[in-house]
Amino acid sequence: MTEQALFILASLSRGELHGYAIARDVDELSQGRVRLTAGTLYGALGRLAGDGLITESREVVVEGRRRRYYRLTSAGQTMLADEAARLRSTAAAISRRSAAVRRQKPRPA
Amino acid sequence: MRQRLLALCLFAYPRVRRERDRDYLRDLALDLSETYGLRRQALSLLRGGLLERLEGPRLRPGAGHRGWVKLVVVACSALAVLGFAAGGLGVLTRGERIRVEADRFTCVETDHPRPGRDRIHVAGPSLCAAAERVLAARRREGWDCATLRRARDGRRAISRRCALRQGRVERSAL
Repeated sequence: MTEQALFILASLSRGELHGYAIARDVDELSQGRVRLTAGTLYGALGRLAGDGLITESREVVVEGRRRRYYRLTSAGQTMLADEAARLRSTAAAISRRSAAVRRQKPRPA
Repeated sequence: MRQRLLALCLFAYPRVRRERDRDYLRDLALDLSETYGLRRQALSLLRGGLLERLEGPRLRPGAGHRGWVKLVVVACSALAVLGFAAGGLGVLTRGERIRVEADRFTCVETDHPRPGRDRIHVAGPSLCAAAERVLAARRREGWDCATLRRARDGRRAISRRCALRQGRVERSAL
């Protein structure tokens, strides 16, 4: 799963959101590191919906603009929890290895 | 003008996709262009559309050759639109009207919660902390934020007004 997709799932874990709100939330959540554009967001939402991780809930017109709302499915919630656990495990393994390497390095005389 | 440029970029997408989602995708790009810039959204539509076409033949067995011919056509169209985008961007920026984006960053803290009137005290310190994080992110992006403090009846209300100037375009948030 890509980082963008993971952030989109995390964003939707708060509840139903439309595309623009997802992009803003992902920007904030990632502290400006992941900035979704229309093309990437549309593609990612389509793939996540195709995989059954999110679903389109409704479409409304606000000030003449169409906004399509999405929400997380139960499969999406499970996937998000699994991915978060996997990332925690990966980070812990890398931290353990880094600490071991630091301990083995000879101190300069 | 923005709408026309984005509508042109949408031609990068396969026809079936365009017929289904053209208006939605254009409006999404318009929304995002107000925050993140028009050029970025236009290019992302071209890239997204081309990628969809690239992936299309792989998903449909037997459609490979025709798919590649179409791809060449689309790539040429994309280059033409890119040229238009690069050349026309200056004109678009010069002709842009001042837009006002309104967000409200206000939180209320209280030392004296009053029985029966808790509804007005729902915004506590944690919400203020969340608002501060958002404001810190804005400041990192170059926004200029001013603070307004009000104290009344044991409540403290803190409001921020943030503004960002980019060329002739001003976005502001209260």
